[in-house]
Amino acid sequence: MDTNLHSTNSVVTVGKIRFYKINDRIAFFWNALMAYDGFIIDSSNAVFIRSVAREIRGHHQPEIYLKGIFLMGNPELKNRAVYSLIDGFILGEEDLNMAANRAQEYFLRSLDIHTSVPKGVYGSIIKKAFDLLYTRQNKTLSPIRDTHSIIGYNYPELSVSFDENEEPQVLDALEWADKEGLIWPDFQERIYVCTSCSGGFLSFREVCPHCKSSNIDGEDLVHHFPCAYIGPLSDFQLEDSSVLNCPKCNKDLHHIGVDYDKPSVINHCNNCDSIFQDVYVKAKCMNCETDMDVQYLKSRNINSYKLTKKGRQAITKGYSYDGIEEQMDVTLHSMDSFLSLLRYDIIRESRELGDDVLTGIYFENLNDFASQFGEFRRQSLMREIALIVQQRLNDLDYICLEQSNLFWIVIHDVKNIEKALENLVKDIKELIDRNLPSVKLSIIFEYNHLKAVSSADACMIDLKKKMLVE
Amino acid sequence: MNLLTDFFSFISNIGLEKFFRYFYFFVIFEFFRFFVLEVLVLVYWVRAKRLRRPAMEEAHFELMNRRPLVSIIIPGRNEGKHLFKLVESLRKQTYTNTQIIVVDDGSDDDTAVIGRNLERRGYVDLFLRNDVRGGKSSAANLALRYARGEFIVALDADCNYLPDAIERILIPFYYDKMIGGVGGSVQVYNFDDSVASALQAIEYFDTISVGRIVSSELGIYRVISGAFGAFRKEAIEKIGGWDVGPGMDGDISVKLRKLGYKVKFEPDAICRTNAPSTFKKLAKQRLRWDKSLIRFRLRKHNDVFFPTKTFLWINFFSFLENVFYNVFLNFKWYFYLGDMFINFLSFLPFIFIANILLYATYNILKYLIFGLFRLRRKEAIIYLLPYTPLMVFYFGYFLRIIRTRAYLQEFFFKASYNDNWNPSKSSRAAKALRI
Repeated sequence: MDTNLHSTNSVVTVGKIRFYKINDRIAFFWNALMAYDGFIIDSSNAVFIRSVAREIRGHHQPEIYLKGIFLMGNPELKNRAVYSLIDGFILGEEDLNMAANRAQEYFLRSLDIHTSVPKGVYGSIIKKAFDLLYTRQNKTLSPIRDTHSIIGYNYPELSVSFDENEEPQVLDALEWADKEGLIWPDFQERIYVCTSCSGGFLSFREVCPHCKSSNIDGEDLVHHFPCAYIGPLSDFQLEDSSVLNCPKCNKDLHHIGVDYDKPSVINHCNNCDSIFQDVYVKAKCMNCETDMDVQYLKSRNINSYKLTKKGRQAITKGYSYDGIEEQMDVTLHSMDSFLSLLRYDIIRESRELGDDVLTGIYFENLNDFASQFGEFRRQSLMREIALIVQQRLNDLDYICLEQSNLFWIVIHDVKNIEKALENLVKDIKELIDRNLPSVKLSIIFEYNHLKAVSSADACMIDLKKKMLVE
Repeated sequence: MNLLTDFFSFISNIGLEKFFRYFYFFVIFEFFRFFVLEVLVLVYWVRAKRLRRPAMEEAHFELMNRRPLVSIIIPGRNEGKHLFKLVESLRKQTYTNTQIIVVDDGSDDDTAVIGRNLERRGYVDLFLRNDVRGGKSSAANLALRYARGEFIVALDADCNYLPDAIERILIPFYYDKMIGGVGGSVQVYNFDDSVASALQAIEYFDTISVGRIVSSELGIYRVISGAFGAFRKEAIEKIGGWDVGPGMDGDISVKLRKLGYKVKFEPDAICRTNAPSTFKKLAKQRLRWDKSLIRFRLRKHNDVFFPTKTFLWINFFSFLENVFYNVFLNFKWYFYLGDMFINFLSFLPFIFIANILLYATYNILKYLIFGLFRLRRKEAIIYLLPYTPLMVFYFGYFLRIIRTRAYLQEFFFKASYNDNWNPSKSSRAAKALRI
C-alpha cells in the first residue's frame, strides 16, 4: 500500500485509494461520489454522523452502500446502532492506512458478489444487508436496542433502508429471508407490538374492568381471625394511631399470621366507583395512542440471524429465480444463459458485419412501488412491461431480468436504436399512465453496440454505471 | 312364635297406667310436643295465615313497588362445580333487582376460574376471592362488606331455588318492620339418592319445614338456615355480620333476636339442597351441627337466660325449649332406658318392640297429617311414605347417638374449635376469646 497522503478540502488520498471527506451538511449527490473508494466523516456531531452513515448504508447502489465509512477522531456516539454502520476510526496517519486497506478489501470482496437480487418486495433490502455482511466478513445480523426505533430494536444493516417508523418492516424482511432459507434465527427476545402501527413502545396499565379507567386504587384485604371481620386495610386504620383496629370487635390487631392476615387485595375505581379484584391490563401505544387489550397484542421475536449455507452461496452465486419471472408469459433468460448468449454475440459481432446492441432498461423506483402497492401488483406490472418489450423484439433477440427492476435486452440488426428505445419507453409509460395514473416510474435506459465492447461483463458494468450515475 | 304370643299378651294386658309407665317418654315428651302441639299450632297457622293475607299482599305490593336492591351473597369453598347451575337458577328468579356476590374462600379447585368467567359474562356482579382460606364466616362478611343492597340474601352454592324464592323471602320484611331476618324453607333435592337422603328428606319436611312453621308461629324460631336466609342489611350490620363458625346460621339468628329483631320462617320461599347421601357423611355433618348447640346456646349466648339489659322473655323461652328438648331430653332418654332396664328387665324386649311400633305408627300418622300442610312439591310425599317407619331408627337411635357424642365432645372438650370446617387459625383465635 502506498502511504502517500494527499488531502484537499473534501478528498483524502492514500496511495490509490481516494476517500471523500464529509464534514458539512450540504446535500450530497451520492451517485457522483461512486468513484471514491470510501467516505470519511469528519464531524463531532453525533446526529450528523448518524444521518450521513444511514444515508450511505441506506443508498440503493452497492457502489455507495458497500463503501467503507470511517470516522475522523473518536466522537461520542450515543446511538449504539451507528457503531455498526461505521467501519473504523481515524485517529492518526496509521489509521488512514488501515482505512485504505479496508476500503480496498471491501472493494475486492464486492467483486465476488453476484448481481442478482432475491425475488420479493424485500429482495433488494436483504441483498444489501447480505452484501454488507459479506464484504465485512460478518456472518450475523444482530439486533441492537435502540430508542429511536419504533419497535425498540434496530438491525443496523437493514434498518438504514427504512424510516424509523417503518422498523417493523425490518422484522418482516428478516422473517421473509428466514422463510426463504437464507438466514437462520437465534432467539434473543420477544416483544409485543401495537396492533395498529406495530410500535413497540407500549404503556401497560391496570384498568377498571367496567369503565376501563386507570384511575384505580388497590388495597389489601385484612381478615381479623377472632371475629371473622374482613375488609380493606383502610377499615382498620385509625386517624390518630398507627395500630390497626378491628371495626367490628374494636380489638387492636397485633401480629400478622397470629390474629390477622391479608388474604387478598381489592381494587376500587375512582371513576365509576366499582369494586373488583381482577384488573384488566391494557396497553397504550405511545406512537399512535391505540389502547388495546394485552391479549390482542402482536408478538414479534427479536432474533439474531446467521447466514445459512444457502444464503452464503446466494451472495456470490446468485439467488435462484422461481417467482414472477417464471410466471410471465414471456421468454426470460436466466442471467447465466443471457451472459452466455451475449458472449457468443460479442465474438460473432467482432467477426461479422452487423449492428447488435446491448440495452439496459432500469426502473429506478420500482421497489417503492412494491412497498406501496404490494408484491402481487409489482409482479403484474413487470409481466405487462415484459410483454410490451417482447412484442417489439424479433425472434432472435433475447431478454433477461436482473434485480427485478433491470431488463437486459440484446437486439439484433437494429437500424435506429435510439428511436426504437424511445418508442419502447413511451409504450411502457403509456401502459403505466393508463393503469396506474398516480404512479410515476422513473425509467432509465442505456445501450452499447456490441462491436464496441470487449467483454460481456465489462459492457454490462459500463452500462450499469451510466444508468446508475444518471 | 312364643315371643310374638307373649308380646300380644303383654300388649293386651298392659292397661292405661302401665302404658303410661312403660312409654312415658313417648307420651309426655314426644307425642305432646311434637305432635299434639304442632298440629294445634299448624291449625292456628292456617287460620292466621288467612287472616294475614291482606297485610301480606300489601307487603308484597310494597316490595314490588319499591323494588329495593337485594344483595345475594354466596360464600363457599371449592364450590365451583355448583356455581353455574346456581347462577342459572338465580337468573330465573322473578325478583330481578339483585346484586350477586360470590366469595371464593381460598378454593384449591377451579372455582376461581369459573367465578371469574361468570363475572366477565355478567352472570355474577362481583366475584371475590381470598387466596388464603379464612372460613365461611369471613367469606360471608367479605360479601357483606361490599354488598350494596337494602337486604342481604345468603345462599349456599350447592342449592337451587324455586323461581319465586327470592321474592317470597323478602315479603315478610314489608309485613313487619321489626323483622330482621327471614329463613327460607329447605327441601332435600336428592331425596331419591339413597336411604340416608330419603330419611333426611322426611326429617327436613318434619323438623325444618313444619317444625319451623310452628316455632316461627310461636315466636321461638331461632335458626335461619345457612342455605337460604334473608336479612335486613341495617340489622346484620348492627350485629357485625357473621362470627366464627361452625353453627354460624344459628348464631346470627340469636344475635338478631338479642337485638330485639324478629326472626321469621317463610315456608313458601323454597330452596332445594343436596343432602349427604351416606350415613357417614351425614354423621359428620350432624356432629358439627349438634356441637354448635352447646357452644352457642349454652356458652356464647347463655346471657339469654340471665336478666341482662338485652333480656327478653321470648328469647328465654326459645332457648329453654331448645335446650330442654335437645339436650336435656337427649340425656333423659338414657335415664328412661336405664329405668326400663332396671325395673322391667323381663319386659324389655316387649317394651322395645312396642316402642318401635308406637314410634313407627306415630311417624306415619304425623307424616300424613303434616303432609296436608305441606306447601308445593308434594310429589315426594308418596315416594317417601314407605321410609317413614324407618324414622324411628333414624331419629331414635342414629341421630340420638350422634347428638349425644357431639354434646359430650363439645361440653367437655370444646371439640367444635377443632373442626376442620373452619381454619384452625380462626378457631384458635375465637377459642382464646371464648366466642
